[in-house]
Amino acid sequence: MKNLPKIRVLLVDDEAAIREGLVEYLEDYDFEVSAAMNAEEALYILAKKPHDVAIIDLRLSGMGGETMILRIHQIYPSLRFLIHTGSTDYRLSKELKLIGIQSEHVFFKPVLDLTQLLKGINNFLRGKEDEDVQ
Amino acid sequence: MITSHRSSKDVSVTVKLLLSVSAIVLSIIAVQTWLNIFSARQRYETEEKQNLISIFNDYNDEVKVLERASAALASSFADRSDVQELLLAQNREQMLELLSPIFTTLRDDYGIVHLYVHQPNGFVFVRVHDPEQYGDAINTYRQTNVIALETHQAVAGVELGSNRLGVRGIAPVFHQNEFIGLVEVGLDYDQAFIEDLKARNGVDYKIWVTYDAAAPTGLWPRDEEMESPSSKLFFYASTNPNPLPIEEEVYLEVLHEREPEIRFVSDGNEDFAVLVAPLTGYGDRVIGVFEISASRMEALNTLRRHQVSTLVLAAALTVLALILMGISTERFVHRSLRHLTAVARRQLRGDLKARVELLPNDEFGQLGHTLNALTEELRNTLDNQKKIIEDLTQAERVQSTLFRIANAATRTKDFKELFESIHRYLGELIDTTNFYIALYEGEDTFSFPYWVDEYDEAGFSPKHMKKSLIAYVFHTGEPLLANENVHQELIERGEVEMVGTPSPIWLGVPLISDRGVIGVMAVQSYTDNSLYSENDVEMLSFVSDQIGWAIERKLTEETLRESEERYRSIFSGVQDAIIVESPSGEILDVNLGACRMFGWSREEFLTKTVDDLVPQDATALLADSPKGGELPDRPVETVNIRANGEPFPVEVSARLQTIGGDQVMLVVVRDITDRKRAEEVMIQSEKMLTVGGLAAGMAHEINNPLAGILHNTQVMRNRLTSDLQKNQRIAETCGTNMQFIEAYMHQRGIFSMIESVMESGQRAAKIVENMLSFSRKSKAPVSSHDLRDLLDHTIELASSDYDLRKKYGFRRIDIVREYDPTIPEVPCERTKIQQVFLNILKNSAQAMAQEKDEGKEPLIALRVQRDGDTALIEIEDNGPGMDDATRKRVFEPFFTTKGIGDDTGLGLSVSYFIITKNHGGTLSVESTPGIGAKFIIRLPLHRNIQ
Repeated sequence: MKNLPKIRVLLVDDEAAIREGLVEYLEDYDFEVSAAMNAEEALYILAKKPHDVAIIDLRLSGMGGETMILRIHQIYPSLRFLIHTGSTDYRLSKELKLIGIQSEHVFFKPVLDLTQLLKGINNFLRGKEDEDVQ
Repeated sequence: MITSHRSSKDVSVTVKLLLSVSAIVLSIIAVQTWLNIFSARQRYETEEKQNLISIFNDYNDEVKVLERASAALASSFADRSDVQELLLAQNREQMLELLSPIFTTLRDDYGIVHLYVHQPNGFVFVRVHDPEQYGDAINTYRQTNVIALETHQAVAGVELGSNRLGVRGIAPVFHQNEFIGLVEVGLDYDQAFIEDLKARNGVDYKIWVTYDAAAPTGLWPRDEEMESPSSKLFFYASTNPNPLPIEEEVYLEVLHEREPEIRFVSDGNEDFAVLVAPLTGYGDRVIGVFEISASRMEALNTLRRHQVSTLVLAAALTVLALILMGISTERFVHRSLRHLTAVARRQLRGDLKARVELLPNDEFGQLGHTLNALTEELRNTLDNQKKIIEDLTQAERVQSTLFRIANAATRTKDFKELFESIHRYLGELIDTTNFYIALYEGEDTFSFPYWVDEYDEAGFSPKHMKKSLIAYVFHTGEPLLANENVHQELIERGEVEMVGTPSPIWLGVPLISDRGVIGVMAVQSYTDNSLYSENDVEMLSFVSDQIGWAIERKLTEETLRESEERYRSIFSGVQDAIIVESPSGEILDVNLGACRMFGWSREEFLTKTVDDLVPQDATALLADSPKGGELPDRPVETVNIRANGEPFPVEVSARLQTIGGDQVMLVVVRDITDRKRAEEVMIQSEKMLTVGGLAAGMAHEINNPLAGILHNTQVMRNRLTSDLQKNQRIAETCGTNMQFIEAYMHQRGIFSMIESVMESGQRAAKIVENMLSFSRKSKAPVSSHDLRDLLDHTIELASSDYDLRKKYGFRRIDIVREYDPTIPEVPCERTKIQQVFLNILKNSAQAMAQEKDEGKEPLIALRVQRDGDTALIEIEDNGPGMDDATRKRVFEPFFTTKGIGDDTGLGLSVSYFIITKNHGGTLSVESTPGIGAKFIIRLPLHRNIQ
């Protein structure tokens, strides 16, 4: 059995309980998880090590989540995003749609069944494998 | 003996001459005298005719007044709710009890002779004037009854009954818009009526009725003391029983031509001017003859005095002429005499052109001059008199036209008929091939209600004609005869411009009424420029006054009719209650509005006092209203109580008034239930907006900590199971294994506790989600749906819902659908609307489950209908309902009457926001405790679909 490199996930959320809970959860499923509490931290982490998926809370102190996603995308176009938000009536902006984020990539807090979040990440990876095959 | 010879010969010639000349002179004087007397007689007769016409017009007016009075009286009975109710209940005894005293008063004071109430099929329900008789049909021969039954409208007119001639007014009786019968009032048109007229005018009246008209009614001659002028007529009433010698033909002609005739007659003792007119009954039927006779004594005396003075003058003239002739024959010259005699003979034979030509310069010559002058004078006089007679004939024709126009003004039904009559009558005086009447409508605009022309067509719409001949005549107020020259001159002076087809002659006169110039009447010719003369101008001007008057009269008649109708409708349409009360609070009178508002009949009201209209606990509310007889200067809001005990908010204003010397209070009560409800809805929606915004703001803040709880709980659950290899590995490094840990957790109930935390968290999340929806902006719906389908689907959903089925027995509930099949699809979010329906149904089911009345079969009625631009959905249950306090708070978030934990208390507030914010509609509830509750949803039919 080939020892595959771990998938790297970056979590950005300013609420410690959520951030830490999710880190623990994803680590249980063999992801390499980094966590940041704001945009500056996130950019610093990404600069040190490339990541595959970022899960971003939209309401952050300092730079807002949406601006951050667009900024990161400019630097790391292959990084995929999942959005994790507390407002239930959130709608994707045109800019975010243009960089490939769709409504299935949006998760509303609280996520009552975290396996849905797992599925969301795994869908990206399957897509990536398809791309690799091609 | 020359002298004797001369004298013997002269005497005979002189005598002859004297005889022949005096014959001429006397005949001149005789003719002149006769003409003078004749023209005086004509003048007096014309005056008398005019007098008769004006009396006749008065009579016509009097009948009209009677007709209006009878119709108004009948309507006042028909509008009474007590009459309506007794007729509906077929309660003859009480109807008689109610109407008899009123009838007695009206009979004594106003001369009412009949008061009937009819069934809707025309049978007599009650004769108040003859209570023993009823149940017969009289609509077989009474046209007024037939028409009132057919049209359900008020009718009035003169008509024959079974034993009298009367003016009848009939009014329809309605109860809740349904025709339930007629009220008929009869006024006397009888001896008393004409006696009354006689007292006013001093002339005598006679009425005859035709056998033809009377036959179907069974009205037969009652009084034979006066013979009838024709076998077709029989005597009905008279203020003077003496018959007048007028030929039967006159009466027959009046009956046939339907136009009045005037005759001068003598009964041997006295002379009379008599007007015989058709007696026109309802529906324009001639039912008899009406005769007005005025004594000519005064007129004839004046005339006689005039004749005597004329004759005295003539006699004096004769004597003078004879003396003159005696003198002139003294100076007789034979040749001249022969000539003179010959001339005189020719003149005697009627040759008034013959003149004395032999005129010696002596007295005889002067006699010749005198004779010539006399002859000339005679000729002139004869010519003049001929002209006078012609003028008189013309005047007579004009007079007759005037009379017919006056008659037409009262007889004709509308303007069209009036103008046609005027056109016809004028046609007998002048050429009216091209004829029109223009009425001024303001701002140089004229309407042409009547227009006959060979070339031009005039629409009936008013035309702006600033510079026309019509406008010119209108503004100058003077008649104008315009031939081409006059017309050209007016154009050059800039007074008029060319309008329509040019005519070589145009004659227009202003139509003048009391208000001033109201229009112009004109005739014209396109071919004959000498068709009209100054004579015609004079004649047309003369007639135009009468026409102006006739038009004005018709206008007034129509305006009066319109304003009568308007006032009636305003009066019966008053929504407010008007209550007349005594200073001590007894109710003296109320209007129909009061009966409708409070639900008491008028009779019930009269047994009450003001305190009965106010609920016991409302006195507190009234406490701050002014006391001590002082009246508030603006309306006061309080609560009144209806007959069924229901309290309702009102606005009351009161005024002190003196009626018949007594002080009464006039109170106007306005039902402000609807206004109050609207205010309530406004307060409700403002409150809901605030609460919604607050809830949404809170929800945002709660979602994050909730995520902290729920995510970490899920991680904990994950880490306590043996499913994850990682768990096993770490357990082993701790010197244990997952099987032991799981067993421990099970035994200590940790897993179920974790599930509890999860469930509670999920519930909190659900509440937050609902709260967030309060602030969600309205967005355009994606598609349109049939509300009936949505309702039916929701019923299916509810029937399969476990809680609803088991706990609230939803399937027991009888569902009644009242759907409007024509309701269009409504733009809306299908799932949201279904959620609303389900929430309301759930609320109803839960409410009905608490019903204490075991005998009540639970029922929900679903209604969908269109109301203007909205779809109206009603969901009504027959559960226990709710009190006012509950009803006002029912949409508030977390407001619930059920036990805690039973429900989140958000269902109805979520529904409220879905309808009002997401769909731009309204949601409200009505309820009567113990009867049920009704939720009312309105959704706009027209919204832009995304």
